[in-house]
Amino acid sequence: MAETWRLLDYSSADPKMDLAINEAIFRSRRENLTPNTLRLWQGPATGVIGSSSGSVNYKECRKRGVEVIRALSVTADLLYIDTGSLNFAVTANTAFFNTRTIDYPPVLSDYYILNAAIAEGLRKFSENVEANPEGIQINGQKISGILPKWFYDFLLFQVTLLINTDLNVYRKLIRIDRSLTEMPMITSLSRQLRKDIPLDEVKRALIEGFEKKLGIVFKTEEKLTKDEQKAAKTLLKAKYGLDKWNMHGIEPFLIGMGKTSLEVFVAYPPTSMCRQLIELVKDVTSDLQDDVTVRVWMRGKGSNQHGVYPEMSLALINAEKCSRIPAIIINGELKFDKTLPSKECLRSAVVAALPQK
Amino acid sequence: MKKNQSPEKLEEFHCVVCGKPLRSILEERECSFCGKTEKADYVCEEGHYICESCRLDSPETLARKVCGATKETDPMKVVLLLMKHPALQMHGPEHHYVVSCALLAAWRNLGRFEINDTAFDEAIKRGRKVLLASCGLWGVCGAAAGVGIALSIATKANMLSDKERTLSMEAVSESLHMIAKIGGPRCCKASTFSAIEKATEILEREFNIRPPSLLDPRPCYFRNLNKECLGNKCPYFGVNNLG
Repeated sequence: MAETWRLLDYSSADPKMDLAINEAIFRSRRENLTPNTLRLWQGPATGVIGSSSGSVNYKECRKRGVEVIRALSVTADLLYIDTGSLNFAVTANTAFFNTRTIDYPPVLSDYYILNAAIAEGLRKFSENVEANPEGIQINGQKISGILPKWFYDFLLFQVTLLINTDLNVYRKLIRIDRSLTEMPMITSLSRQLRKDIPLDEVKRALIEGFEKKLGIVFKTEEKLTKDEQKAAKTLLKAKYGLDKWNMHGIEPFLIGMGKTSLEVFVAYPPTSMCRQLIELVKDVTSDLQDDVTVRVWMRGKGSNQHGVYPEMSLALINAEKCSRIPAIIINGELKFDKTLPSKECLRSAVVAALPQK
Repeated sequence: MKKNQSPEKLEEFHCVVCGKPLRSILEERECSFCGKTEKADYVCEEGHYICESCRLDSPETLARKVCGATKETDPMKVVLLLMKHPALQMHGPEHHYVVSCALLAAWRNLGRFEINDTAFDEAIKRGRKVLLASCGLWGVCGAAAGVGIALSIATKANMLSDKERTLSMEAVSESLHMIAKIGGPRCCKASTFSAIEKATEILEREFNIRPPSLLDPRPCYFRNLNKECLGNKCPYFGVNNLG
């Protein structure tokens, strides 16, 4: 029997919110609150960067009033989206792909099968559409940008398809140094077919392509879950709405569905100071349980202390390596170590880390 | 809560030395690591206790304190105790100097070499310079280098020395050969066991000194903690569990 995936065709009109929604869906999938999901969205002219912003022409972006925002991604792909682009995000536990990628080359096979599903749909418009692990091409030219992100077995695969996208603007905003890359030329589906293509037709074709290639059926949902809505709002305030993330790539270490994270690193077994610290944290966060997740990590007890898919900040890993113990790490920043802070100090540090209401 | 008030039972803790459950007490006990006596909070049925200071120590401080205080002549017992401490991760560069410190402590207690507490500082200083993952990157396992460091310190060897220099290099070479035979992925625990066994063999061969006993680390205490454990392929995995 075919597995059922969730289909969401929902745009917020704010690309920052749209990326926050993608991450909220990803977090929801990681927490096993929702099934594998395909989300389709469209937005106004925006530059979307992955892990690098090196090739963005910020001057031109400012001149044209185009915002540059950063997506959650392990790659440095750069995207320009506008109302002629079709954007979507696949959020899946990649265990689903295990039996389906046997015939694919082992490296990046999950990307490959997803791109193959997209290509399957787009072949409705042209037989020359081809897929590879890096994206989608037509007549040897690229019409997609992909931004993948992993959390253990879970994959967030954000894609932009250049359907009727304004390529002249694209080339002005994003500089691609072809002496350094073998990347094929950028094109759009409409340019190759010499006609505008209704995005609704592309959406339908994509859905069919996914269903056929992956052997799934979609169940359409109109809205995000309440948890996803709340997480998306938090992520917009604490991350996607801030220059700290968009310009510098610095993100808060939020946990689960986007809650403020408080990691308490203590000795094993805890010393009297460690025990006092745990009690103090409990006391200080007792009225903040809806917004704050407290995790006590004991030195030497490994990463499986909090579930199969542990979320540990880099600061916590560093605290363990450098024996900064006991320690309190809030949203991935080491705030107190080797000391017992006053209740007031700790409270104000926690409150300052909460996303502003 | 004030220091030395009864600890709240947060969850069931287990002794890091023997693995048995810990119980709360409020009596004076001697630290199983550094030997200090203080009012204890958690003790196991075997009487093991770790003082508050040792629980918070870095691996370097711990190695210095434990090796400075121990009366043990079996380097395997010293190194096992150190490696069981939560400050020492499953794998890591601290194993490089832990080997030297454990050997120096045991050799000092055997009474053959003049080794004072500054020897441990020197061993840590030298061992720190052996990089993380040097086994794969340089072809020199830090545990094997640790044997050379210990011998150089014990015999006061340097680059101008004759026999002492040769001995240190041969000891590293022999230890490396033994560690290399285990195969990979690397296991800092298995490398440490091999280095200690080889160093003890060399000590007997070259100086006719043999510790009264050398603990057999089989079956490996750490085998369930190592995600990349070689299992039966490792000589320390343990014959008891082959079936």
